[in-house]
Amino acid sequence: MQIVIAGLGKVGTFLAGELSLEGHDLTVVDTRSERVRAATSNFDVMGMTGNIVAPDTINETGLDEADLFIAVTTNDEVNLLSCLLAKKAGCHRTIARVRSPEYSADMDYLKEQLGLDMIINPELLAAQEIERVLALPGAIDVDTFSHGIGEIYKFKILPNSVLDGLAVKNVRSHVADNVLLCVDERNQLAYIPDGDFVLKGKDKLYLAGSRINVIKFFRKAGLPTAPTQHVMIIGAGKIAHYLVEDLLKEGMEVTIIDHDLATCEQFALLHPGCIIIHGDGADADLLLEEGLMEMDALVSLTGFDEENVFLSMFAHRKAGLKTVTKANRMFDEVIQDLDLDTLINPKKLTAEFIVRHVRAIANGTGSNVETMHKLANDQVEALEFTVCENAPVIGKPLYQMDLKPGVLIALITRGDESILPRGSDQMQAGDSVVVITNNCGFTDISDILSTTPYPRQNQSTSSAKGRKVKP
Amino acid sequence: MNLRAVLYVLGQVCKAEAAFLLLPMICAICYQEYNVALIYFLVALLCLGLGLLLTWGRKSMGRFRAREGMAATGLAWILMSILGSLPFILAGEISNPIDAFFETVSGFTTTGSTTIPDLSTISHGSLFWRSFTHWIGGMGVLVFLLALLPSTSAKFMNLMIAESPGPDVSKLVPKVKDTAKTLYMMYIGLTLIQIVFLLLAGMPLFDTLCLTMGTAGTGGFAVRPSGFDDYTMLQQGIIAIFMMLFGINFSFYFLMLRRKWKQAFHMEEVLTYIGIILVVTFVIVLSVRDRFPDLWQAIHHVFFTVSSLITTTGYATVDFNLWTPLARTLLIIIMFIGACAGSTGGGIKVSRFNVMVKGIKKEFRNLLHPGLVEKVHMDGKPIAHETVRAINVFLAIYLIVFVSVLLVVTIDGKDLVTNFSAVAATINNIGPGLGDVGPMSTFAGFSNVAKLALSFAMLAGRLELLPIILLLVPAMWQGTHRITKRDLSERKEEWEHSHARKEEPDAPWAGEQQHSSDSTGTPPPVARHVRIPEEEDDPEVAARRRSRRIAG
Repeated sequence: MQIVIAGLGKVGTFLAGELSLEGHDLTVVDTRSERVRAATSNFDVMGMTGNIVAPDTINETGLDEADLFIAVTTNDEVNLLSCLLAKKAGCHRTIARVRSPEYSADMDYLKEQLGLDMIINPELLAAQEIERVLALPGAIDVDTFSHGIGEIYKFKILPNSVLDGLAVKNVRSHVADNVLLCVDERNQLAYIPDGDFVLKGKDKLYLAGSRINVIKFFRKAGLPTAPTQHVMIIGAGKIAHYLVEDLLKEGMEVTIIDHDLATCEQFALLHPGCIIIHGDGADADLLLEEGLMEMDALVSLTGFDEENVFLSMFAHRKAGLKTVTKANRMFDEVIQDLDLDTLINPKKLTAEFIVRHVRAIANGTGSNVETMHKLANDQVEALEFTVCENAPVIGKPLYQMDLKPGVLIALITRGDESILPRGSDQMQAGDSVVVITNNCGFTDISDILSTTPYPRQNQSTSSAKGRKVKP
Repeated sequence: MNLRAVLYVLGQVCKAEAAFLLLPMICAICYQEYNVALIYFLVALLCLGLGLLLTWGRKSMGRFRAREGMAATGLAWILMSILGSLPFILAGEISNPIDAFFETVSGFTTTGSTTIPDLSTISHGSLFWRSFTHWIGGMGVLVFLLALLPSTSAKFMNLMIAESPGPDVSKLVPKVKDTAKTLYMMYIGLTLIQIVFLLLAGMPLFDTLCLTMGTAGTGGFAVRPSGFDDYTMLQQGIIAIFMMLFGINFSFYFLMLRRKWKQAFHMEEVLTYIGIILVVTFVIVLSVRDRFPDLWQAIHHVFFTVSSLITTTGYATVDFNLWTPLARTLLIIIMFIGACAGSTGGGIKVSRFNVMVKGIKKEFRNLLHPGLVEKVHMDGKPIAHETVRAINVFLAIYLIVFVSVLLVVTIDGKDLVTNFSAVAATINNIGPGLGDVGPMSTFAGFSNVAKLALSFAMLAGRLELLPIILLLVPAMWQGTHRITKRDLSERKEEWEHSHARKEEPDAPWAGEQQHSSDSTGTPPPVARHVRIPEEEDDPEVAARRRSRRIAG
């Protein structure tokens, strides 16, 4: 597909990398020539320096021939305007990033009025993600699927839990039924476990199943299951704004600390239900004074990754809290090594959201990708497909299917019921199926069969990270 | 320096050369020169073997930075020339290995300087190979590889930047692979058009093919001992026009294909290029009018010569060595200017002169208005300061290389005009010079040292200096042993791992799941969910299957 990306901030750069790896023809536009140069030297894309709203630039980027336009500049208005101009130039699909809370209050209205394909709000996405984790603090990460009743939960095995030293085949009898261990992450390498795989303390496990069953599992595995009640948030930015709105609705008690008085005051106007403290979030005494020890969770959302990381480490060490850390992608491996609890990366969330959308467009007919989550440092993808009428996977028991190596069918959702697939189960039209795979780039459910060729070498993903995936 | 990546590229280049060598083999078979065909076949096998050896077992290449791109390009061209000179030596057509190397370098760099005094001693297969090296060298072998290699990442752009001529190499379409493909499509298209024209004008097929490849790559090897005397005015005219066309920036043709006429015909570089050709032709015609029987003859031969020298092809219909001093000086000047950037021609490139002249204008205005803020524009767009600086640095290095090579060549004791024009003809990839290396004589008179120095000049000129010069800079190779050591230990580890797994499969990584069940002696699984009763007696397999059901 021909794709034009306007704006080379963090999201734009990330998208350029991901989409060029997926084999699309990309043109990137930014006003800052040094950003353009960096992007063209790092990724296989064409660069253009200029303002995307200017007629000259629109002509030169070839928007008339493009299939998709993605506007992710820093400015909401520029994004919306350029999407309109792109439509006029002849590009039918447009995606705009709109961040300001004023606009996002009624995004559907805006989308409809301007005829946009999609409006994304990274901060809102991040807030939703954080909220899901806070609802089940035992999990590090919760990935939901649009149709699914089932979800995929990531959690860490505690050193002394029942699971430590247990072989996967014994999990059913010892701990709980009705959940499925999808992926095990050990020392940053992903394994799709088989029966003899022995779980170890400190492993991170991905678990598929319905919420009730997962809660049962967590209880037996000694992980906290009670929803969070008292939350402390450092940094009153946009994410905090969306997050607080939801948390207050859930009836949680929220304390917010920010160093900027004006921000605090505005926040107080918008969210009268929470406690807002004006002070330095990095001040340990202040945190303790405001009752860090009595909290259930700490969410660090300041503008500095380093500060967030230290805050979370402090809270974990001092009070053993559940922590959520916002960190944009920087020295990813090092941050992973720090073993922070939940990491939130709004830019990555946004980019994944868009990549999923692009894959759905690229596969115009057939069983589309509905949802995509990257698990275990992007080594594994969890994809949700809706099975369409003429899909080649229908009506065959799973054990008769000839699947590619490294493909696992994790969940089948039919109506309101989610099924943990057994060998005798069959897929039906209209089912939504979650597939776990280490082959990146699947766009259709038929890609899981070994008869269809690989869409793209997985190698590019692993080598791009500079760290080899070893057996 | 990541040696692994560089070796991988070299291996691919060897494989490509093996394929290229099959063409002269076919040609030799057509002319019943079976022993020559056998030699080309053997050298092709050697290249293939070397290529397979170098690319064997390499799945990932690691980092591929600008320096790896430069080193790979420089080494690839040297290796290619060495391998390409083997047929000449083995067939006994050129006895001195240095001469054979010089000849091949001259071919690949599209120079066209020759050391062979009498072309009638050369077999058709070798004549074809000489001309074919021009065609490959014109657009570049690495660009060719980029169009073919299955996985091209952004990093390979470094190869293209290193190989393609011009101050600012940019892509035509978003992907490197597609850009390389587009370039070769246009190249092949233009070549075919010229072949058709020449055939229609009645030229024999063999001459047509060889001369067209020489024109397309702006090379300049002739095929007949008599040079161009046997061809008609029409045939010479077609070649003259196509030489000029191949000297134009290929972005021009790309814009034409995209039907962006206005933008295409407003490319400053192309306009300047055509302007220079017209003005120089006019002045030289005035100067040498009385040496030709009539005005048309004069215009024809002068245009041919100017077109041949500015595009750095080096074909000659007349001995311009005998022209007036004014004409000869002008010819020397256009030799230095060269063709457009992004074409197959050599020289300093018209766009560099465009930018340089604008830079000088800006400096002059700066003297009048000391506080002046101004940017150099080209085609209506500001040029980055880095590009302007790179051009100035290029000219400085160019001068240093020129003088150094000149100094080495002077040891032979030839006269200044010969030495100077020999270096100018090789560093600008033209072919013939003036004096003893004029269009009707050869480079055979130079010593081996001088020939090596001139070969260096040709390579440096074709790759626009840096890729070749940087090979000599120690800092370029820093850390090579450390990276190589790490690579080797990594490969050893991998090897041990894969062999250890055969005995004791445990916790397979996702992609390896299938292999592990194979190696335990289980028959190839029908599906992972299936339950086959007779297998249940193997407790291990049964346990694994049970757990698989849990795990999927």
